[in-house]
Amino acid sequence: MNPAYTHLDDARLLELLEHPELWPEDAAAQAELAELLELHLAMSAHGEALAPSVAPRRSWGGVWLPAAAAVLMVLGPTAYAVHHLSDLRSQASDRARLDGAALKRAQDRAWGAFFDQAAGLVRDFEKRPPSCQRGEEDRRVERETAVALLEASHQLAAQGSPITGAENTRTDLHAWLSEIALEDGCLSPERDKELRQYAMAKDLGGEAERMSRRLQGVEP
Amino acid sequence: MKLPLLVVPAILAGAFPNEPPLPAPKDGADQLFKQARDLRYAARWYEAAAVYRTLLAKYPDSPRAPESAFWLAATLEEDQRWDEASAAYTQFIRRYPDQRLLIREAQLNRVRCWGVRQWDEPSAQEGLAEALGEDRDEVRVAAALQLAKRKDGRAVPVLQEGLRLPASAEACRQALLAMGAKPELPESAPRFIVVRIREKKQTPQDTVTVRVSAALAQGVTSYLSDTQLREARVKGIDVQRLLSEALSAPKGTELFSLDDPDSKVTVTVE
Repeated sequence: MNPAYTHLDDARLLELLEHPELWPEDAAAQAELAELLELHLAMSAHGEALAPSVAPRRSWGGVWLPAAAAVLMVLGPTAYAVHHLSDLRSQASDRARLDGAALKRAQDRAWGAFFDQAAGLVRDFEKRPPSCQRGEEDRRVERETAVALLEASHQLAAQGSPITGAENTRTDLHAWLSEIALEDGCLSPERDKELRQYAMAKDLGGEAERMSRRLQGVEP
Repeated sequence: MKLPLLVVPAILAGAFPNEPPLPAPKDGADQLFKQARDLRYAARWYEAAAVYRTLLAKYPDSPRAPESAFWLAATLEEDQRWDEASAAYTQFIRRYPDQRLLIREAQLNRVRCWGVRQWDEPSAQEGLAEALGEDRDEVRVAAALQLAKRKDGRAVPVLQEGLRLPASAEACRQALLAMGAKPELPESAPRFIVVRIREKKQTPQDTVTVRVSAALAQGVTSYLSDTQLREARVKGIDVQRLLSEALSAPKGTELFSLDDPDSKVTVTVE
């Protein structure tokens, strides 16, 4: 049990019960809190019900009416509380499921965006660029994109890959992006050709597009 | 610690005695550099590494030396020789501290090598833990993200800091949630985005409520399906813009509500 919720007094526990929006964010902690509340309320309810059984018995008859009323008074709120808590627990479990799906979706989208943009950069690199001074090829725009993608690539590497093969493709792209990012923006025609051939030889653009399609579920 | 000039190439050259013999040697740092690069592009990692080492041993003062030391480490990394690669990156970082852009890459690449090895190699874990104290935000965050994969609690403070960096906020938020920790942005987030998701296939049809700090509002999009994002585009709803303006929107504002066959998602500021 998380110690943060074990020291709360009855009033605070009941307040939490009535105000789920005050519950902690973490789904696991919510489930724990729901269990604790359930136990607490059940004990409170049954404590009252048990009290007469340990008290000295009265000898007079005709107690069924007050007894039934007492049972109803105990069972009514208890049933309500148990039902309410079951709802809360099911909400916590739904919440955990939706959080998990959202995390997966965010991861897939981050990887998909990286592959899309990398494929775009490979395509741009195949086009003839404007010239810098001294007859060099002007790749300053592509270099800027490569630097940004390289940063994204580092972050994706740290996060882990969502599908098989994605990490290998990212690694290949990363090596190519490093070459561009660590060069000057103006490349000699030979170097420019070398980097284009590198991308073509490894089919980096095609691989990136395939990965993007797989992440979108378009391709198995 | 600064190593004497001639010691580094000697260390690099002597550290990996089992590599195959060098390809036919060429003279001059430039030629060796070009030869190593060609080998690298052809995925002939062992040979490429050997040529880089030759260059570093023969021409330690060449302008090509810093790049060669970096690409030697990168070659070892490509060859998945993670421990050797991280050691070579460390040598490079110590030997050429003035190579700003390359140093940053080397630090990030070394974090990756340690990240791969952290399950098996205690020194890799320690390397990552040390990287949590680096000057560069992106290096600290990368190390924290790697440690988070192993649910190492040392990552949490750096991940919480990373929430303040626009480039890494979403990655840090995801890592914290995956570790079961709550993303916290105390002073900068006076309000929350509340996402209410009503799943149509669930019985009974309860609404699940998720609260996200307004400063991390972009994370809300991960609760929207592709269909809902498409619907937003069709309706002309600019989800990203609305979320980025959430911090200044009055409390109680409904930012948008989107529907698909599975669920209805309503997003408000509270």
